[in-house]
Amino acid sequence: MIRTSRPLLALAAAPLLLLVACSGGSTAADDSASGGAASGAVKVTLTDDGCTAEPNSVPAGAASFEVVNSGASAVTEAELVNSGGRILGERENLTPGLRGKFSLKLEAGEYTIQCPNAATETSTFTVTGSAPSSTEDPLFAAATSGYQTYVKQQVADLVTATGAFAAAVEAGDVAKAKELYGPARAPYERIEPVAESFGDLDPKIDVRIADVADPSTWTGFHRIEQALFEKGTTEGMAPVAQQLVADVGQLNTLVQTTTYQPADLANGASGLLDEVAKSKVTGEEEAYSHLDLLDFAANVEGSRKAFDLLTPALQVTDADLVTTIQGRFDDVQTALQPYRRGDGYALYTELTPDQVKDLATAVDALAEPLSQVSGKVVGAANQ
Amino acid sequence: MLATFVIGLREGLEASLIVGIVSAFLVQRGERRALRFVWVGVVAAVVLCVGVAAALQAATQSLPQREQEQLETVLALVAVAMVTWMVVWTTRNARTLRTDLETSVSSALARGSSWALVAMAFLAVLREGLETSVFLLATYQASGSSATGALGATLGIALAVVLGYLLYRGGVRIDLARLFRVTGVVLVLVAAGLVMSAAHTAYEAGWLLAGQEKVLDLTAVVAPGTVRSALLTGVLGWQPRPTKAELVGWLVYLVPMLVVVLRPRTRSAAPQRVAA
Repeated sequence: MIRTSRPLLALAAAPLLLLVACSGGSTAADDSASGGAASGAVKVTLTDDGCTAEPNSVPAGAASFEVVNSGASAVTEAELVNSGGRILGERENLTPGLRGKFSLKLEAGEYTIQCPNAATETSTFTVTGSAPSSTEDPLFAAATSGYQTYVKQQVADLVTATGAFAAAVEAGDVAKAKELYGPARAPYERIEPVAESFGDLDPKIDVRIADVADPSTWTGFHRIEQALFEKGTTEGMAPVAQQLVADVGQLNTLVQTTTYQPADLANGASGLLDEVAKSKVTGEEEAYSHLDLLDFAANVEGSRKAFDLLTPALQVTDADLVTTIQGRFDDVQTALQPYRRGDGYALYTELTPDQVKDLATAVDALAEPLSQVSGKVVGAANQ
Repeated sequence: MLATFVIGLREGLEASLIVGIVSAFLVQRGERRALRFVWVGVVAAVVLCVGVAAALQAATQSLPQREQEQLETVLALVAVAMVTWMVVWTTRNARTLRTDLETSVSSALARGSSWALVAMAFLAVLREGLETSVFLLATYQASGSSATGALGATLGIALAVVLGYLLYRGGVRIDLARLFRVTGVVLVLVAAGLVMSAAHTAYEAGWLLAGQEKVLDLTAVVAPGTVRSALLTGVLGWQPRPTKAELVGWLVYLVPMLVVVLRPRTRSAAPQRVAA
C-alpha cells in the first residue's frame, strides 16, 4: 500500500503539467481571429427562453462570438456545436451582466447554438459559402506567410512611431506632435483591414468623431488630431495618448499569432481600396490635419503588397487579370506622384475638385479588377 | 445576485466537500498533523488559481475553454481513483483500525496515504479553482450589476466553505464504526457524482461524443439557477438534464461500489495484519 501511494502522487502531478501547458502563454487557438474581411461578428444573447444568435448566419471563415447574458437566471452558458455533436466553442458561468467571447474558423454547414437549461435549448446557426481551405499549394503558402511577416513589420513600426507621437503629446510639444502624427498613421493605414478583424480594436484606435455615439468616449488618433490641428493644444490628451499606446500594443500582441488565408489577402487588398474611395478621396479621414493623401498612399501600398504576394499563384490561373491590375496600380501611383512633398504629401485642402476627381477615377479603375481576385483565389485554393 | 451566488456555491462545493472529507478522514485516523499539509495544499491551489486568473485578466485573455474542460475531466477522474482507493482501504481495514491504530504497520501506511490525501485536497481545489477565480474576477469587473453580482459570488463560495467545514466537524464527531459505513456511502455518492461531472466535462472537452441524448428530466428536482440545484450539482454531480453517457457512468460506478461498502461482513475473525 505504501508503494502504491507513489504512483498515485505521480498521477496527481500529471494534470499540473497539463495546466502549465494550457494556461501558460497565449491562447492563440482560442482567441485569435483571422485577418481579412471574411470575419463575422455574432452576438449571442442568453435569455431563460433560449439563446438567439444575431446574425444567425455568417459566411465561412473566421467568426467571433460574443455571448451576453442580459438577465437570464437559469441560463449561464452557450456553446457552438457542429453537426457531429462536437462543441467547437463555449463560454460558461455568464451570470446577468457578464459577457464572454470566443473566436474560431468555421467551415460551411449547419451548426447548433446550445444553451443548457433554457426553455428551448438549441437554435440553428448556418455558415454559408465555402471556407478557403488552408491550401497546401506552396505558392499560396508563401503568399500568406509573406503577408504575416509584412503585417508584423508594419505593426512594429506602428508601435515605435505611436510611442514617439504619444511622448510628444504627453510632453505638451504641439509642433513636434503635429510632425510625428503623419508617420504614425502610415503603418496603420497599410494594414487597416487586419486591425478591423479584431472587433473593437480598430474603432478604439481609428474612429472618427462622426461615428462616435458619445463624444466623451472618443479615443484614438483622431481625437488627438482634433486637439492638435484644430485647437492647437495637447491639453487633456495625455490619457488618450496613453490609451492609444496600449491599444496599439494590444494589436501588436494579436498579430504575432495571427495567420492568414489566401482569401484574407485578396479581401484585404480590395478592402483597402474601398477605404481610399470611401474616406480618403473625400477628405473625411483626416478632417483636421488634412493628411488624407498620406493615408491614401499608405492604403494603396498595403493593398499592392497583398496583391504582389498573391501574383505568383494568380499567374497560374489568370495571367491577364494580373497584368491589368498591375497596370492600374501603376496608374494610381503615378496619379499620386505630383502631390509628393518630401517624405509626405500635399494637404488635401490644396487639391482642386478636378484633381480630386482624377484621383478618384484612377482608384475606381483599379478597384473593379481587384475585386475579382478574391473569387479566383478561393477557386484556385479549393481545386 | 442569486445567479452569481448559485454558481459560487456550486463551484465552491465541488472543492470544499472533498477537502472536508479528507480532513475528517485524516483526523479520524489520528493524523491531525497532516491537516497542516492539507491546508498548504489548499492554499497553494488557491494561490495558483488566482495567479493564473489574474495573469489572464492582465493579458486580456480568456481561459482556454477546451483545455480547461480537459483539465477538469482528468482531475475528476484522478479524484475518483483516489476516493475509490480510500473507500476500499477503509472497508478492508475498518476492524484492524479499531483495535490497533497505532501499530507501526498502520502508521507507516497512514504516512504514505496521507500524502495522497493531501494531493487530493490540492487537486480538488485546483479543479474548480481556475474557473471560479476567472468567474469571480469577471463579476468584480462587470459593469452595472457588479456590486451585488460580486457579493453573490463571494457569498456562494463562502457558504460552500462553511458547508465543507461543517462536514468536517460532523465527520470528526461520528464514532469510528459508523464513520466507515456512513462516509463510505457518502464517499461513493460523491465519487459517482465526480464520474458524472467527468462525463459532462469530457463532452465539453470534445473527448466524448457518444450517448449525448438527454434521457432524464430532473429539472423539477435540480431546477437550474436555484440554491438547491447548486447543492445537488456541487455535492452529487447531478445535472438538470443528464445525458445517457452521464447516467451510465454514474450507475456503472455507483452500484458495484455500494455493494463493496454495504456488504455485510459475516466473518468476525480476529483482526488481520495488513500486508504492507
